Amino acid sequence: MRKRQMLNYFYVAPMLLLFAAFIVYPIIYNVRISFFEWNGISKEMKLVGFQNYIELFQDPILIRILINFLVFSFSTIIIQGILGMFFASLMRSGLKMSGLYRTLIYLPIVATPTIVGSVFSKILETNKGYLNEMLRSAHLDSLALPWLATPALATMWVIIVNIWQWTGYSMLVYYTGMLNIPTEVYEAADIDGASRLQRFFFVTFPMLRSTHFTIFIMGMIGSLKTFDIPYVLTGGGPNHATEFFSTYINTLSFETFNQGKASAVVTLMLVIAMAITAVQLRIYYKQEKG
Amino acid sequence: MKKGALLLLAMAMCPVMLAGCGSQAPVEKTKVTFQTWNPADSGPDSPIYKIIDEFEKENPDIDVEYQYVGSSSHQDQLRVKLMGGEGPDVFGISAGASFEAFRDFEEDLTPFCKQTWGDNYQDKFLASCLANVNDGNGNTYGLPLGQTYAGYLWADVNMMKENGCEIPTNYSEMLETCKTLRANGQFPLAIGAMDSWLNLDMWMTIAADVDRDALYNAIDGKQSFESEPIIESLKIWQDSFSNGVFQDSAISMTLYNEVNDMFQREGSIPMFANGSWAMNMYTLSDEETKANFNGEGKDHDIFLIDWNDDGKVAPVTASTDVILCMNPESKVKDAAFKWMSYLVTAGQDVLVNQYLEYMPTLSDMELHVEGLSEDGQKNLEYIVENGKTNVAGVRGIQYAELSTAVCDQLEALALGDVTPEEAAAKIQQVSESVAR
Repeated sequence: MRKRQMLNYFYVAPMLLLFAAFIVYPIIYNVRISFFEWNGISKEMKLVGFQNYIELFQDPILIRILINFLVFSFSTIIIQGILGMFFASLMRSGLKMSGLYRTLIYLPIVATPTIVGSVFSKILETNKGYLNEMLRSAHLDSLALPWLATPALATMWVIIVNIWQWTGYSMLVYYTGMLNIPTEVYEAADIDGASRLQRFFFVTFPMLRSTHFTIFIMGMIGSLKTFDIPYVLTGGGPNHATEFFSTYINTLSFETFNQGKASAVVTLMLVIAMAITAVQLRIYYKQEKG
Repeated sequence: MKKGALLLLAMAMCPVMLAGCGSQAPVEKTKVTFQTWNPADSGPDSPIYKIIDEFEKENPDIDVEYQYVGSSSHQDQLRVKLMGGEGPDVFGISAGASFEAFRDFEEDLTPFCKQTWGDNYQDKFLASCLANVNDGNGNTYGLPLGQTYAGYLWADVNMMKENGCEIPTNYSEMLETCKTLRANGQFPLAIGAMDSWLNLDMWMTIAADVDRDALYNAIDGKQSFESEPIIESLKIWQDSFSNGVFQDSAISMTLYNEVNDMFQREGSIPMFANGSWAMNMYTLSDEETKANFNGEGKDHDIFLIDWNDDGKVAPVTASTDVILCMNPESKVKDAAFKWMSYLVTAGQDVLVNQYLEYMPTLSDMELHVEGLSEDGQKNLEYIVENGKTNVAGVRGIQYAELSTAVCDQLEALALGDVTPEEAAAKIQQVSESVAR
C-alpha cells in the first residue's frame, strides 16, 4: 500500500514541481517583496515591515481602483451576460446564417487590445474623432462630448469597449451550455403549454446555472486583472479615473520604481481574487447539494 | 589493400596539412553585446549598422552584437537580463529616474574616460550633459549620446498665414492666435497631454520662465512648491486648458502617434508642442513626412513664447537622450569602452550630422547636417542658439515619486479638479517625503 502511495506521488510530482516553481514560488516571493523598500532593480532591499501596506491603504488611488473594479466588473458581467445569452438564444433558435453572425460576434476577441484601443481612440477623439464628427454632421453638436477626457465618460467607454470585445465569449459559453440542455425538457414545457418567454425563464435560464457561475467567476477574475484596454485607451487616466489594479501595478513597478508597494498591490489583488473564488464556489456547491 | 588504405589516409591528411600554408588563422574576436532603444530606431536602414560596420573595420578584433529593443519594453527586458546575470556589456538608458535606479548595474567609467581622453575628459562634453551622467561626487557612470531640449513649440507657418495668424511670441498673443484658429475650425496649440512626460516638459518650461531658481530649488528640496512663482506657473498651465490655448480634450490625446502624426505626416494642425528631437522630421524618409517638410514652399518654425508675459522668452530644459552604460559584470570592459567611446564620438557624428536624431553632447562637435533644407537649417540654428544661451537646467525630475506627484497634479489641474494652490500643496507634501 505504502509503495503504491509512493508511486502515486511519483506520478503527480512533475505537475507539483511545475506548480511550485511557476505558481507558489512567485506568490511567496511577491509577498516577501511587499515588506521591503526596493526599486525592483538594485541589489539592496530595505526591510520596512508593513510600511508599503500602510502607504497603500492611505493612498486615495486605491479607493478609486476599488470603485472602478466594482463598477467595471458588475457592469461588464451583467451586460455581457445578458447580451451573450440573447445572442446565444438567437443562434440556438435556428436563425438563418447563424454561423456567420456567430463568427462576427466572436471576431473582436481575436483582435489585439492595442488595435482595439487605437481604433476606439480614433473613434472617440473629441475634436476630429469619427463619433463626434458624425454627431456634428447630424447637427447634434451638443451630444459631441469629450468622451475620453471626462472621468465618468472615460470609465463608461472602457466598459463599453470591453463588453464589445468580450460579448462573443459569453455568447459562446452560453451557446455551449444551451446545447447541453436535453430537448426532452423543452418538449415537456411545450406539452405544458409554456410560451417562448416562459421556456426561456423557467427552463433555459435555471438550467444554465453552472454556466452563470462560470461566467461570473471568470468575469470577476478577468475584471480584477483588467489591463490592456484601459492602458491603451486611456492610460489609466484622466487623473486615475480609469485606473485598475494592473495598470497601477505597472505604474508603480515600471514608472516610479516602487516595487515594494507594487507587490503590496499584487498581494491585495490576490487576497481579493481568493475571497471572490471562495465565496462563489461555496454558493455554487451549496446549491449543487441543495 | 594496406597500400590503398595508406593512400586514402594521405589524401585525407592533405587539406589538414595544407591549411597551415594558406592565409593566417582567423583572429579571435572579442564579442561586445549592446542593447538599446532608439539609435536611431529599428529596421535594416538604421544608421547604427553603418556605425557598427565602420567600428568593426577600424577594430577587426572586436565584434559588436547589437540588439534593438523598442522603448516600451527595453528597460523591462534590461532589468530582467541584468538581474539574471545575463545583461549586455553595453546598454542604453534614459536620463533621470531610470539612470539612478539602474546604478548598481552601471560601471564607474571615470578611469576609462581618463585613460582614453585624459584627466580633463569632462571638458569633452557639454556641462548640461555631464549633469545627467555624473553622480554627486563627480564620478561618471555613463556617456551621453545625444542632447535633447524640451519645451519647444512648432508651427506650420503656411497654415498659420492661411488662417491670418502669425507666430505668437507671448501668452497674450498665443491666446488671440488660438481664438482665431478655433474660429476658423482649426486646432489651437495641440498638446498630447495624455503623456505625463510631455506635461512635465511643458510645465517645467513655464515654471522656469516664471522663476528658474524657484523651480529647481523646489525640486532639490531647498524651497517649497507652494511658493508664488510655482503657483503662478501651475495657474498658467491650468488656464491653458480652460481658456482654449490647448485643444479640447487634450488630456485624452497622446503625442505619439496622435498629435505628432497630425502635424508631421498629415499637416492638418497649425501648432503643436514637442521637443528639439522632432527636428528629425526633416530627415525622415517616409513619403508623407518628406512631402510635408521638404516639399516645395514648406515652412515650419520651432519657437518659444513668453508664458508669463514679462517680456522674457521661456528657457528650455536639457537632457541626454540616450546614456550609454557599461555592465559592471562585463568580461570585456576594455573592448566595451572602446565601442562606447566610438559610438559617442564618431557614431554620434553620424547620428547628428546625417540623421539629425539629436543635438550634440560633445563640446567640440561641429554641426553640418547633410542635405538639410533651408527651412530645417534655420530651425536647427534656433535650437543651437537656445542651447548655448537659454537653458534653464536639467529636463525632468530625477526623483521618481516627486515626478509622479507633479504629473498627477498637472493632470488634475487640466481637468479642473484642483486649484493651483491645492496642487502645489499636494506636490509639496510628497516632496517632503522624498529622500534626496
